[in-house]
Amino acid sequence: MPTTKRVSGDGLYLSLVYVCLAFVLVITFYPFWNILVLSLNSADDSVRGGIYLWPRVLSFASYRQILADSEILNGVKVTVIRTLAGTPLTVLVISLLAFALSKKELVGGRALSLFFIFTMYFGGGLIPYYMILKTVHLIDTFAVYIFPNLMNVFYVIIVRTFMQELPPEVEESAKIDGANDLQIFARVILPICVPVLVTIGLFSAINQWNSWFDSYVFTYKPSLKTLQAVLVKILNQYQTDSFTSEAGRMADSSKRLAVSSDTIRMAATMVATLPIIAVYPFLQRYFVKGMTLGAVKS
Amino acid sequence: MRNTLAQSLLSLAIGFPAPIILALMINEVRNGLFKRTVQTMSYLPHFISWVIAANVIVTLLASQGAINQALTALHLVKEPIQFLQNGHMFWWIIAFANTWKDMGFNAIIYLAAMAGINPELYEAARVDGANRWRQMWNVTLPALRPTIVILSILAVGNVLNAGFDQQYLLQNTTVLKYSDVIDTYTYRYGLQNGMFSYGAAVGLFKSAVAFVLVVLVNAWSRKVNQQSLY
Repeated sequence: MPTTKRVSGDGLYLSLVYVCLAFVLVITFYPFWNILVLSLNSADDSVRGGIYLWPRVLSFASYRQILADSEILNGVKVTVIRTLAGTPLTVLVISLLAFALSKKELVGGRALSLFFIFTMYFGGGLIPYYMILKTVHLIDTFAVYIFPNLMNVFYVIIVRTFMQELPPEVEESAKIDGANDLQIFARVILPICVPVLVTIGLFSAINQWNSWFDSYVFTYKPSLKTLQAVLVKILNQYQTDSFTSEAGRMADSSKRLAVSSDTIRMAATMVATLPIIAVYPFLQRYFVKGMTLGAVKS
Repeated sequence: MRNTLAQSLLSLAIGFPAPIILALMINEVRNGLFKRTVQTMSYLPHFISWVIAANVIVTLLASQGAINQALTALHLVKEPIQFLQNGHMFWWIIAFANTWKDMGFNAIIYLAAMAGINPELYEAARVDGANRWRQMWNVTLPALRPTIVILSILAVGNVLNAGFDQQYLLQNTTVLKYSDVIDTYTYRYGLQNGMFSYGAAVGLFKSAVAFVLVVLVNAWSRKVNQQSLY
């Protein structure tokens, strides 16, 4: 940190910094607040506009509607399951691979690493990917959410770097005690690696929670759609509606609805965001450490 | 193609300096609570999906949205600006959206690098009579140079990757001329129209160019700076 002794010219600079940072705070926070407020407001009132900071007519009707909406509920179910199931598997696969690649004795280890790194920069694109998924019969199954996400080169590199920095004595003493590779991995390496594994686990979980594209493109059954994909549908509807919105709004308001497509959109957005916001404080601690571990070292 | 490059470069122009500036500013703050609050809040947009972000943006920029209402209330414009229907604004919207979403997260890397700066350098600067601004300019920035160079190499390699999620979710038919990037183009022609081989070719082309770019920029950087990715 820069030294704390004040010198002339500091005052102006520092106050400028504080102002800018306050501005950043507002622009990152307000959009979410806006959606929250709009979702809690009753629709016939929202139509009149002018709601910024606080709901004018508090109403939970939009949320009640969502809880009754089977499509959204199903989306929540799918997303939750894929996050809970996919993340541990991903972490397991990545840590196994990283462990193997961290050993200098591995035959062809360097070639394999280079091969993986190459795929970070070079890929075939969307169409070949779709075709591969089709060939292995993953299209339109739940497994299409799990399998492709099991592997991520970036995370593998982060974990591998971490493992390479571990002192070899730990492993050697385990070997002397007669442990084989698998036991070394499970009993010795994994516990030490918990911080880094938690970090990539968190990233992986967030990735699973947020994926919409794979649901959009690779599955057709409505029962397999994730929450985010359902949101995309709602958003698209809104965008096409917005061209004829004035008429729609007038119609809605004349019906004195407590709920309109708009407020449902807001409420659905909040439902999708709230878990992230809820988990966020815990994330914070781990991922800052993890990012600096991985980024600075590699 | 033109859209891809324009959006990428604009996003880079706005979005690359932003995290650096943000990190520099956060570094200057001594009040722990304020610092932590800003950090926490600014990382948040990174973790939401583009679907949610698009929803948020569409709500803000709508004719009845907060921004238009603020503008009309301040009498800066007479009637609401149709942000999302205007093709010219699309590139700017994308650039700002990208920045908003990622600047907090990217700032972490710079903050981490700054934490490693030797405090004696700051002492020496202060002895020479430098105020905080000068300290930042002459000590912090040069120390960040290696990190900045590496990240910009990666950014250049990604220039054809203007993204797909944000364009797909924020576009509509009126702005298609400006919003269509390579990835959305591939998606439309490849998957939706069923021209598989054409779509595959476009995807491969993009990857090849990106790869060549990264290798070239890295080699150039290695010669000029003795700094490289590998």
